[in-house]
Amino acid sequence: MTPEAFAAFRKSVEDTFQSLYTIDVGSLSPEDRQRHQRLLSAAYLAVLAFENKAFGDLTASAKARLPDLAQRARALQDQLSGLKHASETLELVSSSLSVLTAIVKVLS
Amino acid sequence: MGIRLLLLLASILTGLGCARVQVEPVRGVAASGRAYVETLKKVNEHALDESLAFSAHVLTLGDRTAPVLQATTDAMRKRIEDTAAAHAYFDAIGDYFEGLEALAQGDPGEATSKALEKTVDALNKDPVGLKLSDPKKAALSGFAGFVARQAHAAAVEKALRRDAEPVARHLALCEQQLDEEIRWVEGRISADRARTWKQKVEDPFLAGEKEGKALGKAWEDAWVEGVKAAPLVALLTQARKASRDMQTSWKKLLQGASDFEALQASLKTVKEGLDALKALKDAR
Repeated sequence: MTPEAFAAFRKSVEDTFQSLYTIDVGSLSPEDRQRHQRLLSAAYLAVLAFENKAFGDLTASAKARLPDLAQRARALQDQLSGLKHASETLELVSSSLSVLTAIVKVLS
Repeated sequence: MGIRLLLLLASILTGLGCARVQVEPVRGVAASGRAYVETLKKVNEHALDESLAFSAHVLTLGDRTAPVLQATTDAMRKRIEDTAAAHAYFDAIGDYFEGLEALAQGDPGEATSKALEKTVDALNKDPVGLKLSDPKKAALSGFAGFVARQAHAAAVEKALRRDAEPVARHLALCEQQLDEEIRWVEGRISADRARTWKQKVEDPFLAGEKEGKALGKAWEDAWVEGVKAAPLVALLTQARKASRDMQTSWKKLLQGASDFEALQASLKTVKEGLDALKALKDAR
């Protein structure tokens, strides 16, 4: 993975966080609100993991694991960008929750 | 005898004249270095404050579990440590420029040279998590070649040849750190503004159209705020420019020119703007 690919990966995770952050939780059902809380925290921890880890400090094994995660994060962001409804956003991010948690593990 | 004396006097006067001219490029470098360091520290403090406040807010919106609280707290504690390390790293360049100006202002003694050498050692220490890319390293490797011959006093020229590259490298790393901190702030401001825009401008606007509701003054204010650029982002853009100008000024200094006074003025503007914003925020 190149520094540029790492930066693009980071941007897609930041954009995913922003998609969740802009959701008006007042409009959500109690179940969706809980789901939103879980996803928002996972996405924010992934954002923090990127902020606290410089590309130059990545281990070889982290570098080997990141391309697959980057591809999945990019695919998620591509799908999110056209969505209008909060429930669709939550559904989609829920299906990729494992990507967000894996990012935190790999970058820690 | 008279001619010899005249020649000797002429040579002394020429030498003194040269010495005075030689000091010029370095004049103002210490004050600029201090202003630069202070500006970097201000951005550093803002970036940390923004990160902390935003993280606290996200904690109130997110999953209220022990692992989330722990992970967020750990990440922010690490950031506080890194910010303190960055402060010390920024100070090194201020110390160096002060030593360089002392050397240029007729203090070419062993003690001044040694003190300057010590500050270069501090510049050479890698800061936490910062590394230059290979192309950037390669671009900086020939910096000693920019030092103009006889444009500086001999002791200064010698120091510049030795330190040209470490200082350029340090300035590049400071810029990298600044860029990262600016990204922390911009990302959070952007997320907040997108949220406010969606919830206070877009949603009521579109709902109002369907339901025929009036929008009111609060909506108008939210729209105006959303359209305008965030003042902190504008200041950070200026800080980024000043950081790049600092690197250009260093190169010009090596070549025997100086534009540190203009740079100092621009750094002062950024620092005062950041101070004013902080005061405004604290007053709220």
